[in-house]
Amino acid sequence: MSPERLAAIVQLVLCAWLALLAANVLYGLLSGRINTDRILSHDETRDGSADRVVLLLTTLGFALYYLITALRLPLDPKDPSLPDISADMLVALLGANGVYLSNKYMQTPKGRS
Amino acid sequence: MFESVAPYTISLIVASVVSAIILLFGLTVIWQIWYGKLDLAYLISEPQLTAGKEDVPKASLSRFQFLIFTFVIAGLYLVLSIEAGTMVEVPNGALVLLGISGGSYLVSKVESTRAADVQGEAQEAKEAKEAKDEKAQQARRRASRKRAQG
Repeated sequence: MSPERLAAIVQLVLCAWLALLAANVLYGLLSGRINTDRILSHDETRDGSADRVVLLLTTLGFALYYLITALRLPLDPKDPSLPDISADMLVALLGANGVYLSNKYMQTPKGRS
Repeated sequence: MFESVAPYTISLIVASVVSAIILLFGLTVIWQIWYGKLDLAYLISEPQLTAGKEDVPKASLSRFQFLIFTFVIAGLYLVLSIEAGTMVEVPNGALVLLGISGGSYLVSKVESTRAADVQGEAQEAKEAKEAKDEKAQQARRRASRKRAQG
């Protein structure tokens, strides 16, 4: 067996492994085997929270956008790389994460120290 | 005996064996997850706060985000590497994306742990106060009994 053939087999099995793992996690999330209880609620008040909804939508939108962009763009054979992400998109993600974290910080009960 | 084996063949055998071992590790993980021995129930949950207060821990959005981005970047990296026939470069933007997500996860974990500590302290203080009140009540009962006997 040639090294190229070995590499091709390993790559295919790795792809299958990652797909199986992702399928397992997805099945767990959809069937309720993986806990998603109160994922959009505040830690303390248990009410629904807008910043969490924003972060969830940003995350899913961002992941889909990146996935579609990467699969649609032709790969440069001389310098193959993942597609770059624009600064604007990163700032949007940073903003959504910042709002979520600052709200979480304000909701967390403070100790005596 | 080994003199007749070319170094190329030896390296190929070693590469095959190492690859097989690593893939077997991966398959074992999938196997264990499938048969429920590796429990993913709390994969994206925060650490449980005060024991007994909540039966089901709360799910964490930052963990979920980290999971999604890891799958997306790892999957794309693998697919594009196969397509290109070589290891593709990861641009700074993608690294920053993972950094933001990882940082958010870390800060969220610190906050959750701090909240659990604060609630634990509050619970301990409450229990100590109850024990102290109970002792004081017992002392008062003993004193009133003594007065009644005397």
